Amino acid sequence: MKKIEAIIRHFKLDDIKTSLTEVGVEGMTITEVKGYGRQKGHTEMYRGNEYAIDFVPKVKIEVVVPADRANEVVEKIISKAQTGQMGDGKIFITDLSDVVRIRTGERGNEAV
Amino acid sequence: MRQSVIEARQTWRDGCGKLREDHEAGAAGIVVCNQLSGLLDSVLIQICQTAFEEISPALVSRVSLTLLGGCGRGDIAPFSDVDLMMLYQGSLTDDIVEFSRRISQDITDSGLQLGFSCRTPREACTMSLTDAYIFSSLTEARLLIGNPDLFENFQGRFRRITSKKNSSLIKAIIAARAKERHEYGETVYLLRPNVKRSRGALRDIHLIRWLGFVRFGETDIEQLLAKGAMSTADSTQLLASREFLLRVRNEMHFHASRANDGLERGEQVRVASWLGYAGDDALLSVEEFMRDYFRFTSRVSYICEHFVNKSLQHKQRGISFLGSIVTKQIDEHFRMGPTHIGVSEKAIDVVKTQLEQVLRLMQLSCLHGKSIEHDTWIAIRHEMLKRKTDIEFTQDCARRFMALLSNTKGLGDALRRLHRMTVLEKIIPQFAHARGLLQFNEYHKYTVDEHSLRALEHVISFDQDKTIIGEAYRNVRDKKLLHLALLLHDLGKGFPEDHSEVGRRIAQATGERFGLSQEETETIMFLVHNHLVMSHLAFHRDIFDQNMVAEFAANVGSLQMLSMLYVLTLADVKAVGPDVLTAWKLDLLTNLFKSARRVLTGDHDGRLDPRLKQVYGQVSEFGANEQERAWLLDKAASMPHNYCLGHPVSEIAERLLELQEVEDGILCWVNPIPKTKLVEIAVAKSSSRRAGVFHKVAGTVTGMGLQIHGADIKPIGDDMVWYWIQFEDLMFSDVPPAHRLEEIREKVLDKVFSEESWETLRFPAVWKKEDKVASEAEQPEIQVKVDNDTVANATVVDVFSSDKAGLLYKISRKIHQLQLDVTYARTISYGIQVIGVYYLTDDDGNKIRDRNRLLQIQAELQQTLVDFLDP
Repeated sequence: MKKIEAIIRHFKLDDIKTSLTEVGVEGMTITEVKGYGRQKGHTEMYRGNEYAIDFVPKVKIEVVVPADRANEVVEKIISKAQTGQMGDGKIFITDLSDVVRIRTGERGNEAV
Repeated sequence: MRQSVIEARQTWRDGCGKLREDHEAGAAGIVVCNQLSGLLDSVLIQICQTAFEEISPALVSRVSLTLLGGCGRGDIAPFSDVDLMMLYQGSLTDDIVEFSRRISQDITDSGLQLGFSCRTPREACTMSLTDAYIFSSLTEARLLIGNPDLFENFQGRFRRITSKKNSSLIKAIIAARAKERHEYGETVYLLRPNVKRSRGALRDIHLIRWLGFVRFGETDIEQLLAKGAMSTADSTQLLASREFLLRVRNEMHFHASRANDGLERGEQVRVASWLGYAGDDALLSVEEFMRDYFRFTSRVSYICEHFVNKSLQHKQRGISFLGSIVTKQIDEHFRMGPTHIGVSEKAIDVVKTQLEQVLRLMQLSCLHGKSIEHDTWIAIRHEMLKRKTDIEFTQDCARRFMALLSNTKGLGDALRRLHRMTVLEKIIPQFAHARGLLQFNEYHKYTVDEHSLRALEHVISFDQDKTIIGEAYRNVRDKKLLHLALLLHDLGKGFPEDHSEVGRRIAQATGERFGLSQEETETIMFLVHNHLVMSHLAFHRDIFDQNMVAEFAANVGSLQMLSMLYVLTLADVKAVGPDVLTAWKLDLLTNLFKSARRVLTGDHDGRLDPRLKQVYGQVSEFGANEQERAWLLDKAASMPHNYCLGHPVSEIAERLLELQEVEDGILCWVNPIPKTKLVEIAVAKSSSRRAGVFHKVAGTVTGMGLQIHGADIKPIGDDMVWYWIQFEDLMFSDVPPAHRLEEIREKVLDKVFSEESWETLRFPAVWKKEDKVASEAEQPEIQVKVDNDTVANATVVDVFSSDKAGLLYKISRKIHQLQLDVTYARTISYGIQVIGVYYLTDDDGNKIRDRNRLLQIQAELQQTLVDFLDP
């Protein structure tokens, strides 16, 4: 199992949510986050017109999927989140040792 | 288990099953509760009698088993706890101890939850004085079995201490209930209320009983009515509300098979359907049910609050006596005391029947910060409840209501009171529909009316805010319109159509009803219709997309409207529930607000980017001496902000130093903008007269086939003006070559110096083919808006239109013809749309104040644009 954490532009959320649902991802956790990476906390604006923003509002999506589906999901997120501009975000993929569904006590892929 | 216990358990279960059938067949809530109580009595008597017989038959004459709380009252719910007290006299003998142990165990084994105590009458009374919960449960005491004299002894003693400690007990009971309410919900209009403990729920009816006991020696509502402690209307409403609540609670207990008092969302849906609410196109059955629920609980809350006040006032007889001495009659209707304002007995019949007088009372109360006398309230409330719609709404009413809305102090409280007295819906009839209207989604926490009132309270609180939010709110010129729009913004809910559309019509109808001017009506219609736009764009669109921001700014049209929409949106989101307006959402909304404000006002927004300070400092370091450094610092600070941020400090300093050498003349630089195919031209003019140069530069640039993307004009001190224009040379597919840049530079210098007339200027046709003229369908509306509030020394004109080569020239020439001076200008094209901001002054450098002149400027600029863009 893999956990996929994607930090994305907030207004891309609806698109990503829809396309992940279409490929069968059944659940996800969304968090409103703020941060900065290479965007350095401000955005290049129209013709030298810049705005100072300390932390840029982003959305974090967390999805857990069986290992063999991770690539498909990552590709889906990229295809919807990419604008080609700085600030598109990042995707972190980690191995997950186990998952437990609290209600039934199921474990592993069953619980995803 | 003992046979007697098995039998008792069976009796209880069978009885409950039978009563559940009665309940499901439609038996009244109070009847089911009374019968449950009777059933409980018989089960408890059965257990106690067996215990007496088996332990000590004589004990029955030495103790009194007394039921307290709901059991004493005789209206328990199916899974209520049993509250039992054993009174005894003298010493605690072994047989009493054994008996206590035995019945405690047997009652618990019978499947009942038991709360048990064993006290002498004196102990019980002493303890009641230290704990309001104990006191209130003792007020409901009822003898179950045992020695009646002992019980009477307790009752006599209890009544005596009650009468002695009257005032401290009232305070303690009220405080205990306030604490409980704080925990379970301060407002009636909770979307997940507790049927026992939230405001307006059963506990508030109990509170009336307990206070009734202290003040009048009676707990029963009908007895309180008989003693004149309560009006007939109040007691009727209280009993009807109790019936509704008990029936709902019984259903919740029976269905859950436990003491469930929390009316959660799933439960609301189920109970609504069980009670037979059907719903329709506009309202879900659950919404209908909850509206009734809130109607009953808000009545209980209202009656309870008055009963509480009455009990407290009784305690403060001394103060009210003093108050009556210093109370002054302020006119034929109203009198004012040290803490209260009210209506004399003679005038009350007039005041209570006229909305304008009620509103005047409200306004006086707000103005002087005084509460309204209880009797006055009662009289008005009864009158208003009696009259559903047959009360005259006059223009004087509208005027007074608008005057009330312009307050920022005490307004929230005043409107809440008007709403509770059903006066608000006589002023805005659509408010009746919103009363207790549930918003059945996972998002909202309050009903529509509560949400609207909260939103209004939040916006008023922004007055004290030290951040950009407070600034935006204080910048709103006509706060009463903003407040009215907030009251109306969600009234379109609960109809099949989109609530913003319904809301817009309600706003229009309200504007007409109130006799507002067309402009005022349009403002509230716009705000109500667009109240979701800003949050939609901020949360679902790229707020850094300048085209989106420009379109939004053009739609909003003015800084006033933008400020109103911004604070309205914040208040609206905040009023959805605690913590809904997160720092994340606030950031997005504020960034959108700032970007749109920049579009509407240019750089002149009075806020300095911290990076600019750094740039100014670095530029000044290029000065050769102290004097020159000070000069550079001063001039750099006057340059367009975007120019400073987009150019190396060495270049800025170099140009300024060059300009320092020129006494009366013009300098011009033309450079490509790195990483784009755009070119910028910077023209600096050093002379006392600046009129006319703007349109000459614009004309020259346009005449050479250059498409202007943006232009900034800014005075640099008193004697210089900086023109900065960014354009695209359509003759070249890439950055134009150096000779072309030089040609442009020479032409600009040449034309600006010449006295040639510009009236006959022709534009070359070569680039027309590629001209990005918008198609008919997406052509933005041509708008010219004049704003005299944003800056102190100039009139701001915002121009919204589609782009077309020569546009800036046409506008600048018109401004010149109108004999106006441009002290600052900024124009940027966003896709197909152009937004221009011009700060204009008259010949003497003053703001244009004459209303007719302002209208003329607006009309002529509008006509120029229409002639040019849409001939």
